[in-house]
Amino acid sequence: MKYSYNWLKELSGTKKNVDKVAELFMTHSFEVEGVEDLSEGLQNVVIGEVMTKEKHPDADRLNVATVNIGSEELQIVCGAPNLEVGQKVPVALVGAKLPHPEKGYFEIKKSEIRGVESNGMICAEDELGIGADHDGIMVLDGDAPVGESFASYMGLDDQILDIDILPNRGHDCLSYDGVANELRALEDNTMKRSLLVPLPDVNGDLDVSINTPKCNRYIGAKIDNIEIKESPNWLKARLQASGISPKNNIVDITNYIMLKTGQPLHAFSADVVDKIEVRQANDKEKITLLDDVELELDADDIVITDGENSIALAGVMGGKNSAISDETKNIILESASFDATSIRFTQRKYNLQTDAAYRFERNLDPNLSQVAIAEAIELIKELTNGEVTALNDVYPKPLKPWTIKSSMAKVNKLLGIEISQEQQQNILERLGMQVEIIDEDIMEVTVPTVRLDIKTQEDITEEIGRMYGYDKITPKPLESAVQTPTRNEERFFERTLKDVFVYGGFDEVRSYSFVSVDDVQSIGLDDENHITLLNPANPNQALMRRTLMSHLLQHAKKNMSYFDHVQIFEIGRIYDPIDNALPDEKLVLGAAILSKDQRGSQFFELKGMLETLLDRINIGQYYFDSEFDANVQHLPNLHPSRRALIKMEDGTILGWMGEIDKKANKYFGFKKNRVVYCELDISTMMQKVESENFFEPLAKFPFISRDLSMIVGDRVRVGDVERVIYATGGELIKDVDLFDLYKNEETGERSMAFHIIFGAKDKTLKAKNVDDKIAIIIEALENEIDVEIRK
Amino acid sequence: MKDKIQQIKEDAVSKIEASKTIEDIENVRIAYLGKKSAFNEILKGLKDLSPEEKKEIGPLANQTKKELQHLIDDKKMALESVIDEKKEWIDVTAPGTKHAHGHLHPLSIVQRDIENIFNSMGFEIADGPDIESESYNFDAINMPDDHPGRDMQDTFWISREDGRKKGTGTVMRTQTSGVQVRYMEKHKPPFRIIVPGRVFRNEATDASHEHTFHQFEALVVGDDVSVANFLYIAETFFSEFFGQEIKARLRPSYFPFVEPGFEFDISCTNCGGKGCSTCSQTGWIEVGGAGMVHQNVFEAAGYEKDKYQGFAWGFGLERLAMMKYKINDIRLFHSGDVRFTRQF
Repeated sequence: MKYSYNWLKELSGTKKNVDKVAELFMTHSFEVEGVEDLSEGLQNVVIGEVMTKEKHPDADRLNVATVNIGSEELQIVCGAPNLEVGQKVPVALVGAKLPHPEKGYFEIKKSEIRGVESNGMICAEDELGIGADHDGIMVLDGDAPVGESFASYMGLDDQILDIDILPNRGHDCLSYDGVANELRALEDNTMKRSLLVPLPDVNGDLDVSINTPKCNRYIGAKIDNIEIKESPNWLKARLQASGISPKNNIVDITNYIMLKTGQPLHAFSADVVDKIEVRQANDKEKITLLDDVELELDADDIVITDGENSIALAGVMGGKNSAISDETKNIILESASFDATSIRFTQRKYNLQTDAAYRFERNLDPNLSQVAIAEAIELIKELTNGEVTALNDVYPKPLKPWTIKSSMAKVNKLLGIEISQEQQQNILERLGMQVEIIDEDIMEVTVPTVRLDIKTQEDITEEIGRMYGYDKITPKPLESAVQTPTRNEERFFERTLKDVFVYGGFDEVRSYSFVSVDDVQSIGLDDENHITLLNPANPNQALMRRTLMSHLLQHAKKNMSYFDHVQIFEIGRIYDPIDNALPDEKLVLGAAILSKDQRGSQFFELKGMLETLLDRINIGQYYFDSEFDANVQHLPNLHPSRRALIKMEDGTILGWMGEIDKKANKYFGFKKNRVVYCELDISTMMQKVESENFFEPLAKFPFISRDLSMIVGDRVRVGDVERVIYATGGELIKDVDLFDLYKNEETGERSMAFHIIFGAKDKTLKAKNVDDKIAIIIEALENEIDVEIRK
Repeated sequence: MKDKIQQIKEDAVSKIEASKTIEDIENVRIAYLGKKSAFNEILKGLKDLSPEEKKEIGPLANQTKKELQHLIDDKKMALESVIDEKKEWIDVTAPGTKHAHGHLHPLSIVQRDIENIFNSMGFEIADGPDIESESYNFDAINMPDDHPGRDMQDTFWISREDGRKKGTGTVMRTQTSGVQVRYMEKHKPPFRIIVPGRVFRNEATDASHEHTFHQFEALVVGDDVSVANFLYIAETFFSEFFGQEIKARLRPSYFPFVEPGFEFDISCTNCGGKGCSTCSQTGWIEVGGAGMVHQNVFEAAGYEKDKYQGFAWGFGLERLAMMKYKINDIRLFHSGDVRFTRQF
């Protein structure tokens, strides 16, 4: 809320300047988001009186005026059509720097306009930055004092503090009284705070009834013989300082009192309303509000009625039917207290953000109703000559101050500092609390009802801590011994995976957890099986991802504009729905390679990366299996002949990889470029890491190597050949290594060549042993699979 | 004879010194120490000398031969180590052979830094789900059911019963604080944990706002953990993280799950607190919220009320990364743009 420094100064008696006040608040109370000087740009603007007006000799639309500014008379050329002799006008003197929306300021200089000297400018509202009116110069009241500063006459010699009142201080500090009290407490200023003002003694009784538990108090006052008119300048200026536009004296007074006390007030026209009943709305009850919006209410809303029809949506906005007009002579003034939660839901439901609802939804002290209406009545009497003829205060369960037993030791233990009981007492008393010392540790604190936020020992501790000053607390190391923390294994495993991928040439990216229906469908997944947000940020971010694939493909595509080769990976969570429970959140590693170079296949680049990874993290018994059904595994669609499951020999699936299929390629826009993607489940991998890693003695005897080259049939795979070699070669085979794989594009003939390494633990193998083995292997290969060995 | 040896020696030494190439020195060796050399002749003739002469000349001749051999070897080694600069020249400013390597995302780097610092101070890394029950995300941490945070405009809802039914819905977690209660349900104080994690807020994105970002939460609970302890941990952490002395400042604030609650500022990392454009001339930078854990939160976790005290503290990972690397747009973190990642 915006607070006028002048008004706060008047209420609190502070002698500090605005910056010092802001600093005090920042340190001890609330955040001050800014300080604005209202007179900015108006320093050299004074009130002048137009003495003469003559036509400009050389310009039809211009006049030459002489203006008395007290100390002298100035000759000023003016183009405004409404300039008349005798007017009191704002005059920008030579040297004034008027506010300018683009340039920052506009400096007034002595000038010659078509041969006539001009020493200043008579200003329109917009030129002064205080309004939008540019139809003519601003004409001030006849009693405006000539020569005085325009800013001070307009109440603009003020500074505005923009204070962010914390949610727990909305009860007391969305008001000048509250903030002034806070300032007094901070300065330890003994100026008296406003006391509970008694209600005026009135004979007439107003018919007021409350028929809902959601209204804590209702004070209605009938005020007769008022005269609706414009408010005096001081009142308008105060409202404007806090950002409220003046309307008429009655509305302005209710707003002024709301600003001052924090209690919203409302005035009904007593010409149409003569009694008040507060109740829950009926289902589908209709009401037309002041701003002409028609609402259909439900039983959760509270309404003010005249016994039959609703005349206001309680705590939020008045009704059109009971609104005051320029002809209104008699009003009923409302000062009431409503259930905060109820107001909150009503306000949110209809999206009605009013100053009243803003305060009520933060919960108000019902005792404030009395202060506010008493002050309002005084002001109405003064400014409108109105007279209170009837009054009723319905307050079924009056709120009384409560007490909290506060322990000095507990306060100090939580803050980690020593504050004496005397100091603690002093702080609490400055905040308007009554303190009774029970013993050397315990104080009984009576909390004023306006501090609805103070309920517990910790609340008291906070008040003492912040008033004393958190800056006085000396940092202290923890006293308990440091224990070696339990290692988060998953986090460290994740780091290893990232390092391996980074050293392998992959860049890490991050993406949102949300995907679109199209993203999901384009990779062949069923969008129905995804967790869906009720209120997504936008329709393209409505589903929770079940693979990182679509985002990584989108990222790959984006980077294709800048790079010919993109290798990216992400480690992130995917979300598998579970009936009636929180979803299964799996941490996975996704990686993609996109290359514009179409020689060779990125499949093997990525596979090689995975093999390096699995070797690094010590997972041994895995293989790539091309036989799988994507539907059964709930996997995205992949190129049917270029995909594999990464499986352990016990059947566990570590992950999957493959080239993306044509549909996805088209959707993501890769054109002719092939893209290969893999995804691994991190917790499954962690379970498969062989943690027992024993040393094997280094081989003492030399190895012998033989090469085997063969022509293979259409569907013979490297894995098939290796399997036969290992099975037949037995223990003597140390390694089988493919070193050539060739397909003659013309004949279609495929060939493979392997190094086969033989060795024994206990002896040097003889050439003959090896040659015998090779013969057996060749025989087995030719018998078991479709290969022909090149001799 | 002595004179002759001396003469040979002097000649040889001057020849050795004058040698310019391996070939020169080799010729010197052959000429003075070779089989057909004058010196060799002397050595060969030693046997014909009288015993007295032998005694005198023998050691001298051998000593001289050793000395010459030594000088020749040294000269040879010196000549061998001279290189042909023209032939051997390379352009050392030409680029090195490229070895492909990737880059960690800045959030990963910053997260590691933070985790390592806290680890060294005895903090355990805890974790919780991204999709959280309404009760852990709100109720358990003392956010009343009419708290504005639960509104549709702030929270992504997965499922939600009628607006006022307590704790039955499912949300994308709006803070990592729910993990506090999850952890406390399974552990008894004293403990120190950090909870890094992804959080979600339903808000419009711009250069400084994202609907998806990362929070870092620290929680320390014990019998007497105080505000003073929090200040110490905070200053130690930030000094370590930024590699310079950092002061912490607390200002009153309000979060339902703590009391007292603080807004937490650190001395400006750019100017050290003197005031500059980074800190809007204030000398301070706001980095997060903190407070002493509300007794209601302890109760929700099953602890006896008023038995323990502790602090909770949260800040944004992106914000720290942006400060550390002077990144000006938060949306870059999730952009997937490799040109961004490659700068770290």
